[in-house]
Amino acid sequence: MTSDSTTVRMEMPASTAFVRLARLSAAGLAADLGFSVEEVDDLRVAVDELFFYLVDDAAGGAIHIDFALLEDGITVEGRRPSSMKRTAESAEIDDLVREILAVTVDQWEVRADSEATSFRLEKRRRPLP
Amino acid sequence: MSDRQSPLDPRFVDFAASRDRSLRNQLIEDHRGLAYHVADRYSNRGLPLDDLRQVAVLGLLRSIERFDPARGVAFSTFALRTIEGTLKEHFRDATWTLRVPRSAKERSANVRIVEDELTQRLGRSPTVAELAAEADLDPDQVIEALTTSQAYRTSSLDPPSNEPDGAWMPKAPDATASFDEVDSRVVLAPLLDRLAPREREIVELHYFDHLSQAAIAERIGISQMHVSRLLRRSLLDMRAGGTADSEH
Amino acid sequence: MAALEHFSVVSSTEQDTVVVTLTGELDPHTVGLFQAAIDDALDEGSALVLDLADLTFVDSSGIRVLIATHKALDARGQVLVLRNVGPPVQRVLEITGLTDVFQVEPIFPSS
Repeated sequence: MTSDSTTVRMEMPASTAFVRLARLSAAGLAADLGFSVEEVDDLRVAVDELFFYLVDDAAGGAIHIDFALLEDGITVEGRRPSSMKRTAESAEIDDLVREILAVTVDQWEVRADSEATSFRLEKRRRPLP
Repeated sequence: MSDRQSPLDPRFVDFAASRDRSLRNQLIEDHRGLAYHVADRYSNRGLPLDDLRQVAVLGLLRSIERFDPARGVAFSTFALRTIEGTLKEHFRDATWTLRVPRSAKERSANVRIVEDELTQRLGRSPTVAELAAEADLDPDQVIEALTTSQAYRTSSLDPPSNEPDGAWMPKAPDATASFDEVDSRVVLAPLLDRLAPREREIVELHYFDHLSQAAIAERIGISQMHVSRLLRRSLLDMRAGGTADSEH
Repeated sequence: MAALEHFSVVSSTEQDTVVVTLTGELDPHTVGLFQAAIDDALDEGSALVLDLADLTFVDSSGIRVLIATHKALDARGQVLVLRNVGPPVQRVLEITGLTDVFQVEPIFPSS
């Protein structure tokens, strides 16, 4: 299992009911990559926050998630095609979420335009001593 | 809670030194009201009050066995927490199987504790693989355990937060549990003797080894419903026998 | 969908204190249950303890409720007490700098 990058792709309804599935998937994959328990816990939180950013219960639709398994880490990209406008009360990336993401992952970004709402995060495994 | 401190009953000091059984039974009798009081607060939550009281008396017994007068904590404070802990355990066991796949609980109960120990030893957070090896589980089981329930509970023996810090040693809950088991087993032996062998085994597995009803069912090879019934009946039998039958 | 089974909240009254025990994962899907229990507990007007021993997960949605609860209690001169905080929850509290805001009953003696 040492190819440069393997991608696991999932599609699930854009509903809070599935945020748990996204977290569990991330945790399982990160564990396979040799992440520490704390790193796995961190990744769960980050994926949760960003998945929720894509969720728009009112609009429905689906979220596509790609987990790219790297030699020394993982990237997670989520995307929800948005033919419909986000409703006003959708999740925001506020200061609290920023604070959490800043600590739990190495890099993250979100995008929202007329075609899609998306996120990307990257988490590297700390080398074992 | 320190305002609840009252002068120490010298009998606790005696008992700590002598482990005298009749003295212990006296102490149980004298504090039975406290156990019932705590049990009553947990009534109306779907479990029979009689059972709760019986479980509470088991908790009282634990607390008398384990109370250390030298620590300067009032017995009532200590007993209250121990009894509550025992009751909560009982509730968790009784309701758990509704929510969590069977045997997940047994695994998860220890994983976070093992994680703590391993973190201390390694000086860093262990990998899931390392944790799995240490806990003797598959990595998948570890993930399941980490995400199912942490059962990371201050043991019922831990002090209230406003007790002086230095008086207490950190305890890994599993370590205290095994200590507890040894003690309670000795104390409860006469009561357990009243039970048929299978019922006795079930009570021991449940209250000393902290196995869920589902796990016991699996081990003994009967249905969980049956375990539940046998446990109830055993509690009734023990109560009929009298937990505090003063001289034995 | 069984998602709600992954979280439960039980309130009980111990003397003058309402103890709210959370089990499972607190996230955007389950936070409503928690909020409802908190609302009820705050209505009681008594002291509030959250027992988090069996809480496996918390994110910003849960943290927001904790902060709001803290503020509501603070306004009437009470504190929010967190009991049995396990590693994943502790981690998020640390990240968000909230460990000093709530009164956390220590599992191990603080040093």
